[in-house]
Amino acid sequence: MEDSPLSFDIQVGDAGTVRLSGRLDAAQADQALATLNALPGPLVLDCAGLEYISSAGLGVIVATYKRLLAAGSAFRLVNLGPRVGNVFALSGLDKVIPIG
Amino acid sequence: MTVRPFPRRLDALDAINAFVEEFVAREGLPAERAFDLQLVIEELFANQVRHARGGRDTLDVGLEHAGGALTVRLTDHDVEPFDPTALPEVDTDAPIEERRAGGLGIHLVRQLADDLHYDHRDGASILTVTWRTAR
Repeated sequence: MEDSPLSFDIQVGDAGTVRLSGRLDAAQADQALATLNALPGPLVLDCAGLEYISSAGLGVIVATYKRLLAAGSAFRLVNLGPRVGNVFALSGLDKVIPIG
Repeated sequence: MTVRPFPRRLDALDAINAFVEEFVAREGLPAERAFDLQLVIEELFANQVRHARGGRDTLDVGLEHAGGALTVRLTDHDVEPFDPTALPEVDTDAPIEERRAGGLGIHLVRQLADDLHYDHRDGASILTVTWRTAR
């Protein structure tokens, strides 16, 4: 049996840039939120490698944005692919979360 | 319909995703169809795992491509009725302060598919999602 790749990964880089890759689903959401909660703002989430997001993943993004908003820190999502971007649009979150 | 049981745990999602990808490839459907199917199944599966009372160790996930239509059926045996379609609609125009993750999953299912139907029969919660055209 082949080793399966990690289904989701967060890489914390310099200057508040965080790279999300793989699938941010209900199985990964708690760990993703715990990782993001440990980071002070401002944050830029680079979603170039993010292949999939569900409502559980959207919940992680909303919670992180609300936390930073309350702290007066900037937050932004960049490099959303068309499929993941569509999930944000269908949920209406593209209208309230800074993207791009 | 191809039906397979999956453990009542969120970490079953990887196995469900593989099941969907096999189905999409076998039926010759566009690969991007897998995204919508996986999202719809995850939302319904996670709802049952989190909220259904009772239940066996596994839930059945069924997929069918017939007559040009696509059907997903989630069957959760030996549970009390829990109808996620009765949840209030989310307000997608609400400001960020009022946004919650709750209810968003069913909203996404409704947006992505043509029909979502709930039934409780012989002790089982049965969620059926259909797309009139598979492509």
